[in-house]
This record gives sequence, C-alpha cells and structure tokens, in this order.
Amino acid sequence: MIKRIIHFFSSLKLTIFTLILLAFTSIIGTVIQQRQNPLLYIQRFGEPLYQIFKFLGFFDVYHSWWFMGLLLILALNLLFCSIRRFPRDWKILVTQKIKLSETELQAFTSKEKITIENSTVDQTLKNVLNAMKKGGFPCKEKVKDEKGWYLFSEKGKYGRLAFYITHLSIILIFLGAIIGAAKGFKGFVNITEGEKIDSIITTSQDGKSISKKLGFEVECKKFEITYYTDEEGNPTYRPKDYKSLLSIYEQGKEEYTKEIEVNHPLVYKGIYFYQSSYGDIPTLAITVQTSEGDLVDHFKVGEKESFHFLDKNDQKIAVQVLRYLPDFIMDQNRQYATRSNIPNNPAALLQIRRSNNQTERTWVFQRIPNFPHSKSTDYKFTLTSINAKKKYTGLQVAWDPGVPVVWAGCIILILGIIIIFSVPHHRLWVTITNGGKYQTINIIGSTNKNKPSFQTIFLKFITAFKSSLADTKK
Amino acid sequence: MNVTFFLISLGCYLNAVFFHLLHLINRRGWAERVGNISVSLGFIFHTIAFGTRFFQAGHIPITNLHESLSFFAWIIILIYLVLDYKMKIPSLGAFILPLAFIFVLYASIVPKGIQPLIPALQSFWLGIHTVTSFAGYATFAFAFCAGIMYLIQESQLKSKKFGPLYYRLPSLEILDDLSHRIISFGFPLLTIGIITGSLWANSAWGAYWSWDPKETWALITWFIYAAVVHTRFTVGWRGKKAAYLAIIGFCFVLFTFLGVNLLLKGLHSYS
Repeated sequence: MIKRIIHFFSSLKLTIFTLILLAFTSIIGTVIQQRQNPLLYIQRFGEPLYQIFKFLGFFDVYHSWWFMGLLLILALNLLFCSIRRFPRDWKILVTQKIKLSETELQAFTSKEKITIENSTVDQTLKNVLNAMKKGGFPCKEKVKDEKGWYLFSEKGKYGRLAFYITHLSIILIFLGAIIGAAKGFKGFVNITEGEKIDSIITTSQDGKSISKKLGFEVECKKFEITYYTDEEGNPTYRPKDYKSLLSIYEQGKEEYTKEIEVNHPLVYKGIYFYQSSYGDIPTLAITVQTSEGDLVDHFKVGEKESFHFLDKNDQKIAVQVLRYLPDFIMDQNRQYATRSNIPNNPAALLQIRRSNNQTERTWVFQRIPNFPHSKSTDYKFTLTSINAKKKYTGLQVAWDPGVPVVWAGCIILILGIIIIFSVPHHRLWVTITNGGKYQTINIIGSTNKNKPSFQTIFLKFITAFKSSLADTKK
Repeated sequence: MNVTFFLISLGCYLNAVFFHLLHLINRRGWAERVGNISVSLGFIFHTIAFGTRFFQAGHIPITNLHESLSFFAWIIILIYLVLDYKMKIPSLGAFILPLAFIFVLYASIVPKGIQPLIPALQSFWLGIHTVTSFAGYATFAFAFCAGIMYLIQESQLKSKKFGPLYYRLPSLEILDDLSHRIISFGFPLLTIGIITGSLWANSAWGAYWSWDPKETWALITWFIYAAVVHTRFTVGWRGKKAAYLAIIGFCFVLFTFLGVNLLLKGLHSYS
C-alpha cells in the first residue's frame, strides 16, 4: 500500500498532469478579476452563477483550496521523485561500476567494437589510454582481471546533483511563500505632506479594510514630482519622477530618514515602504452670493471640510464639501467619477445645512459657473479656483519574512536549471579483452540526458580514438 | 532615423521570406542563398535601427509595443543566423522567417515614437528582464516551428504520401532533437525572465508576486514548458506529443506577450 502511494506520487505522469492542470486552471484568475466586491460579481454574473463561482473559489483562484491542493501535489511529487531517485544516483556518484556484465553491456545503444592484431595487451593498453585522452575522455579508473583490462572515463558527474538542487529549490520557494503568507502583511497608506501616521490599512481575506498599527510613526517631510516636457519645453502631465522624503519616529524621536522613489523603497525593521502613488490635497476657493447677486463672502476649504455664514435673519448656514472631483465625468454606470487627477473639469458636491437641520445638495463646477443650482437655494455658490499645491504620497507597505527564503530558492533554481541543461553526465567504458596475439576493444557510452546529441559526441570520440590507434600503429 | 533603418530591414526580411518559400517549392540552392543574404542584410539594418534608437532614447528600447515586437523579431533572426551557421537545418528558414516577418510587420503598423520612461520602468532590471524574457520567447518560436515541421513530416510518413515537402524537411529525429535542444536554452531563460521580473516587482510594486495577469500567464507558459521538458523522459510522450505541446506552448507565449496587454487588465500596462 505504502509502496503504491510512493509510486503514485513519484510518477512522471503525475508531474505532467499536475503541470498542465495548474496551467489551465491559472487562466481562470486572469479572466475573472480577483478579490473584487461581491456586489460587482453579482451584477456581472447574476446570483446563481455567483454562488457557483464563489463555491468553486473562482474569485480568489490562487488561494482556493483546490489550487493549493494542486501545488501541494506538485510539491509532494517533487519530493518523492527526488527521494526515489536518490539512491541510484548516489551509487553512481560514490561507487561507479567499472566492470560491466555481459547483459549490462547489451543494454547500451552507443557501442563500438575494435580488434587489434599483432599486439600485446600492455602495448594495446598504452595505446588505448593515449587514444582515450586524445578523444577527450581520459581514463579515470582502471581494473585488471584474467581476461584483460576494464577502463572507465566520465564527464559532468556532479551535474547529476543539479536535479536535486533544482527540484528542492522549488519547494524552498513554496516554503518562503508560505512563511510570507502566514506571518507577513501587506497594506497601504496615504500621508499628506508634512504629516505623520502610525498605522496603515490592510485588506483582510474577505476584502474588508483593517487598520494596523506599525509600532512607530512615519512622516512625509516632503513630496516632489517632476514631469516630462514636450518638444517645446512645456511641462506635460507625464510624470518623470516622484519622490518622498520619509522619516521614522520611535516614541517621538527621529530614528531614520530616507528619500524614496519608485524602484527604491525605504526599509525599517524589515518593513518596506514603497513609493506607489500620489495625489493632490486640493483647497477649493468658493464664492457665495445671494440670489440677487450680492456678495456674501469668499471661502477657502478642503475636501470633507466645511464653512458657514449667516443669512438675513442671522441664522447659521453650514456648507460642507462632500466630494471633490478634479476631472468630472459621468461614467458608463451613470455614476459621477473623475477621469484623472488633473483638474480639467473640477467639480464639488456641496451639502448645505440650515439652522432648522434642513439639508440640500448641489454640484458646482469651476468651468460652468452658471450651472443651474438647486432651486430651493436662495444662494449662489461658485467654485472660483482650485489650489492643489499640497500633495499626499501613496505608499505600499509590506513586511514579508519569507522573501529571503524565496530569493535563496530562486538563485538555486536558476543555477540548478542551467546546470541540468548544460552539464550532462557522460560515461564511457572501454574493455580490452586479451586474445593472446590480438585484443578486442569494446567501447560503451552512456548519458543521462539527450541521447541523440550524445550519439554525435560518441561517434566523434570513436573517430578520434580510431585515428589515434592507427597513428600509433604506424 | 531608426525608423528608416527599421523599414529597410522590413523590406529585406520580406525578400528573404519570398526566396525561402520559393526554395521550398523549386528546391534550388540559389533561392535559399539569396534568402539568407537578404536575412543577413536585414539583420544588419535591424541592428543599426536598434542601436540608433537605443542612443536616441537613452535607455534600452524595449518599452512599448513597437519596440517589443521589433526586438522579439530581432532576437528570432539572431538565433536563426546562429542555428543556420552551426547546424544547418534544411528549410528552417521557410518556417521561422515568415513568423519573424509577421512580428516586424506588426511592429511597423503600431505607433513608433520614442516615449519617455515612466518611473516604474526606470530600473536596472529593465534590460535584464526584457532581454531574458524575449530571448526565451524567441527560442520557443523555434520549438514551435520544429513542432510544425515534425507534424508535417510525421503525417507524410504515416500516409506514405511523399509530397515535395518531404524531401525538403529534416528527419523526425533531427526535428525532435532540435526542439529539445532549443527548449533546453529557452526554459532556463524563461525561468530567469520570470525571476528577474519578480525581483523587479518586489522593488517597484512592493511584492514579488501579485498574480498580475502578465505574471500569471508567464507562469502558465512556464508550467507548459516544464511539462514539455519532462515529456522527454517519459515513455510514449516523445515525438508527436512533445511537438503538440511545443506548439500549444508557443500559443501561450504569444498570449503572454500580446494577448494579455490587448485583452486583460493589469499592472504591466506598458508594452
């Protein structure tokens, strides 16, 4: 029973089957966007299909039980193959058989027989040793018995170990990934220029946002962005570079400062802070007029902030900027959205609350000052300008203790794979059977890799070997 | 200027394709020789185009669709010239050159301007990652052609109908051997391409693996070729089945290279 299990898990058919299955199932996750809001999926696939897909794990394929199962089968397959194969290779590495039996000789496809006349064994041996050297396979070991000599040569012996290195390196990469998934975290945080944060936002497995304390504070001292210029030297909106000057504070004390940019993160206590995005913290200039056109006041306000003024009866009217969209559009789903972060069509949604708690909402547009505002409002709001000097920096934050293990695995994998394909183990046996006045030479070659290309090498050796023997005869 | 050189090379390649196909039909040695001279000329112009563009842009020009397609074709031609010099596989040019020509043609109809590098691409890994990946892809193009030639030859042998192609194509053993040898170069290259990509991703995106469609498709391709490599050692999976897998594998390569960008959303939004 155990033997059958081992046999099953170490079979090459299982390897090929698992690899092809992994390839085809991986496609699912690239066709269906992964880890989205369930509502989006229901909208797209309908309730019944959503339930089936959810059960099958199609919304998080690469973390589904069956995908993990396939990876586990692959890992077991790699492990069992290596274990099953090891004793045979170990024998070849440690105790190479020099004297092959008659049945063993028959098993090889690369062979050649030569008969030397009018020579002694000692003379032939000397010539053969020389010819082997000339052919590129110098003799490594030789044994003598009553029948004659047994010579052996090999190349790329330790190339055999690459098999184990390569296959175990993949298990090492898996281990690194498991360590990262079990212990590490990944999240993001936006820091306004000049401000400090002490926690980041991570996403739980079911897609909820969770705040996570870092245990120290991070300040964005400065954020800088440069743009490419067009042919005339005018700036474009294509960013060339963006950098944040970050400082780490432990209990209020500044510990470490580094300027980060894309491709150059900051590392503190193993936690990586990557420059990933940026955005504006805009200040909106809003002018309030009465419906008759008399000026009430000018206000400067940020998103989510509010201002207030007094009406004719000295009652307080509070206005809050609920939303700010720098590049207003109505998207396909008839939702208000922004096309970009560039203020092409700035718009703000205002909420006006009167003293009797009556509220109303209105959109104001910088480009369309006379946009018909809500009728019940006896005031006119105009968005006169946007000041977007203040920016925030968007950081990816990650701690992954599995990374060094993964990199170790990757380096070993690359080395192993190169050795596997470029260092085949070639073995050559040459036997000299003494017939008194003549000797029979049998040459047998074997490889653990591509047989046709070894055959070419073998034939080349035979040609060089024969011509060397012929030379010595002269 | 680089575009002019590029278009000249396009003309040379077209000429080469014509003569290599002619050679398949009329079996005259001169047609193949003319074809090979055209390829070499085209390759020289193509190399100059690449060099001048490198100089003009100030970075390795493999950063958008035009540049990627052009480089992909360039490296296919490079490998073809090396193979032709070293191994001389009969009629290989008639199969691989039309394929390379399609990529050059495609590259000629997409926008050819030099764009400034976005911050994520300004990295030391750009050259290493793109060159190893495309070199890997290019070798698989050869395995694909060897697979097609194998299947044509095999069907002729089976039906015992020896058409003109039979005498032009190499033997099954040679094709099988070529496919294996070329994949033993391509598979390590693909592996290095994926690993350097994940090293880069780790410093640019904050994670070495994010199951981005491009990453995932590269891994899918890797799975397929891992299967191809292992079929070698399994009885009954050599030859025909390996040829089919090499052909399927290249379809995955093409999807990883082009399909992902055209059809799927992801982080690899450039190229």
